[in-house]
Amino acid sequence: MSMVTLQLGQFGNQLGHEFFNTALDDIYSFNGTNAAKKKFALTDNKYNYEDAAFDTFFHTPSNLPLARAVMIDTEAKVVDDIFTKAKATNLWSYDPNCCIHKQRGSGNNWALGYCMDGDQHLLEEIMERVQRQAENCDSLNGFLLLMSLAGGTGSGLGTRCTEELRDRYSNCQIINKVIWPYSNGEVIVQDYNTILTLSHLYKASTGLIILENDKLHEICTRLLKIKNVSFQHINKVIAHKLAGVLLPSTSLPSQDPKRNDYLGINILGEIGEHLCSHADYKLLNIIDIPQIPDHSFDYTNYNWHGLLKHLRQMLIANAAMEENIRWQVKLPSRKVMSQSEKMANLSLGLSVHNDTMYNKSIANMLVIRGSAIDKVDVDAFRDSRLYVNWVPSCSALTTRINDRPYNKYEKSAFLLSNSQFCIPTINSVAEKAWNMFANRAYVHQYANNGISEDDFVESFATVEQVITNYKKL
Amino acid sequence: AVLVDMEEGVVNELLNSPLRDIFDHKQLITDVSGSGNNWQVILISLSIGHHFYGNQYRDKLMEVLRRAAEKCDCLQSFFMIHSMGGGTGSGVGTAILNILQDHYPTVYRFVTAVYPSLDDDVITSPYNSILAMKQLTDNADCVMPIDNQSLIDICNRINNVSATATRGITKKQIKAESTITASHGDVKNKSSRPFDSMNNIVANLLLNMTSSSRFEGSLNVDLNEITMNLVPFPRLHYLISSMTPLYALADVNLSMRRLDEMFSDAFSKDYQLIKADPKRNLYLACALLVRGKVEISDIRRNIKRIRPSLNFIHWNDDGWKTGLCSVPPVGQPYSLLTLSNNTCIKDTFSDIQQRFVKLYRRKAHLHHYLEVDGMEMATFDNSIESLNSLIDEYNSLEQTTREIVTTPPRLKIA
Repeated sequence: MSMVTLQLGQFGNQLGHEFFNTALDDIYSFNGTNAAKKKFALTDNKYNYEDAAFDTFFHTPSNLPLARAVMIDTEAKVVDDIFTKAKATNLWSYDPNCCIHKQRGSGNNWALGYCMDGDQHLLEEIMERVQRQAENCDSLNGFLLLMSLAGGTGSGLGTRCTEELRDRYSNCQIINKVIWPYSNGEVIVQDYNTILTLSHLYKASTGLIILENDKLHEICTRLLKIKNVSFQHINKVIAHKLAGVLLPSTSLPSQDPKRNDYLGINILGEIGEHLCSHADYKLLNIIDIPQIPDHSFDYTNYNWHGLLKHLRQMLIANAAMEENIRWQVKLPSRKVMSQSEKMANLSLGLSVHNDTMYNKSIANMLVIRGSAIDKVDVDAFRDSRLYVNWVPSCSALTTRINDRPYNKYEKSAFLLSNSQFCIPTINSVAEKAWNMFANRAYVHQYANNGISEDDFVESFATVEQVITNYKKL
Repeated sequence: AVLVDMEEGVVNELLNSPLRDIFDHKQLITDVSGSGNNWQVILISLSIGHHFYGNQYRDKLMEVLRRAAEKCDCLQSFFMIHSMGGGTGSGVGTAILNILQDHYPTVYRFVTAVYPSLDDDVITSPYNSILAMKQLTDNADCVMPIDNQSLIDICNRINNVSATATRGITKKQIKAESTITASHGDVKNKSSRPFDSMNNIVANLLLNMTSSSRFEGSLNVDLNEITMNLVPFPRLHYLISSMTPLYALADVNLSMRRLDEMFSDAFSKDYQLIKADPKRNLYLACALLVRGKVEISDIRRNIKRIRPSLNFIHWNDDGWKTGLCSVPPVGQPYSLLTLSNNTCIKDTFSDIQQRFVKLYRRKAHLHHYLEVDGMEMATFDNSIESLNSLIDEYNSLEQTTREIVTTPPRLKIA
């Protein structure tokens, strides 16, 4: 089952490039290690992992595989650069007919991106290319959009594309992978752009995978021990997480014995069905374990029990990485508190319910890749205390496995989670944006391009609603 | 490029230089007499520039501009370079700005304006500057003020390096041709002219600003992003610029300390291209445009380090815009251009305002201006009014930091 990727703006295109590289690296590696790279040849075996993985992201009309992607940007530099780089690997390329770029740029202006700088034909052009890629797929899984929240093209034009896709392919899954900017220092109007994007995407998108630059930067410095973190490093981390979740995997044997053929999997559909079943809750996060610096690969050895224990605590304590996890954050105890115990707690200033202090989930998808997969025990993730009570326990956790090691990691686990993880960040951005808006700073730049103050207020209202919904969990 | 001058001397010199081939001869507009300097009296009138020549040459200007614009596949911005004190630059320049505003409203207009220093040789420069200011405030998208004194100081600082021996650097250690005043890589003949080093600094300013539009990088900053992020209110579009480092060392060992020094220097008053001390006043926004071998982690480290010593307005506490371009400038391994929207510019404006008032109170030299068709006393009044209100706007923004700021209550959701 294939998916079509739309790369929007500088970030989207640079990430897309890393993403396809990572996917190919994994496919070509021998059993997931770097031991020997084999020349890839398509077999027609639908039970073959490499075939399925390849088919998800690439198609081969001729000798060179072409990525199932549409590159979109409002200026030429990045798209040209990425196209050249891909072709230079000699392993894959982008389809030259699926690159669209304008000249003027969006100037970090969401309004300019959304209204496409007055160019009526741009959307038509984009949709035509998307259609072409969609038709190349034997069976279309859905769309993956890669975009940033801070800039103008990724956020503005990306939102417009999402809405248009929703109109034209109303039954398809549309997953937006959005990168949350550093809390300071990237773009001054990033908070406005973020609020406008989130509010519009919430209606049109199936689900939003949010990863934050701040946290990814930490992963690079603290876990991967990179001295001079560049955007390329950060993009590699994101690509690793995304591909880890989206590359083919099967369900646990016990769940559904028939679902073992790789090509029949609709991973975006699974995400939509299990994780984003409620219209009010669409925010997704990916945490993964382990993350090993390049030079330490030969010396590390993990067991599933340890990995999953850490991953679970990362979920509960809302930790983005496996360092400095707060182990003191615990799930509430099972026994019912008696009245006297409640009074005692209240008098000590402790909350009666422990709920608010840990990260509550709506649903989770656990993807496990690696050797000795039959020894894995995921029961701890089924704990009903982790989830809200209106999600039936059979849906709360979906598990996908693959006994093939992924990307040099002998064992790795990914958790795609719909939980409260991102609420503190969204809250602080809403605060800053509201403060700026109250002083009407920069508002004239948006008004000049069609976004009025009312539009702003509406967007703020939507985002506040999302925050409130998640907080109430 | 379009070159405009009311007398032919300078333009002719250009046409005889090695650079003559890159200018289209049809794009040069000159007249013979100049804007009032045809006798050795130092008196240059903006009104002649703006009204007289502006009208007479209006059609020719429009045609030349149109021809230049049509040659572009996609026209994004106009760069205007002129002085504020003279007659042609400020007068004809602002007349052209009006034309551009009318005929190309969606194309960004960037102006690099040289403000008169204290010891300026044109007596009526305050009049010219104030009259031009109103036009810039109303019609330009973004103005980078510069003054000659600051440029001279920077040139001197480079030349006197051995004398002061700051930071233990001697002249021998500076890589030749790496200074921002050098003409490394340019086509000129060996003899240099008096304003060359100063002009090179401004040339480098423009090059660094457009570097992301011309070269690739991991975080591109286009010109329209500069106006978007640094101009929170339409009239407050005056950006103070500084460029560091001034030179590169011959020693190849590039330590992190030198990189951090580059960032620290950018905020020091000695490196600004106009007389101003941004650290003492309020930042509305700040852009860091880096070229060369610098990564995002270096920028973030330095922002964190320098931030406590700066004052940002409360609703833009994290008001940083960053850009990374991979290609460094000629002769240097990396460089930083800082564009700040800071309230300290109001001091420059107050300065000119006072000099204007001194002349205006006595009505000195006014008759030269009023002789020209289309010029009235009201024009003067409007212009000084515009400047006064601009200074007030900056003052009121500074006022907000002294009051206790209550964050407005958020939207309540049922």
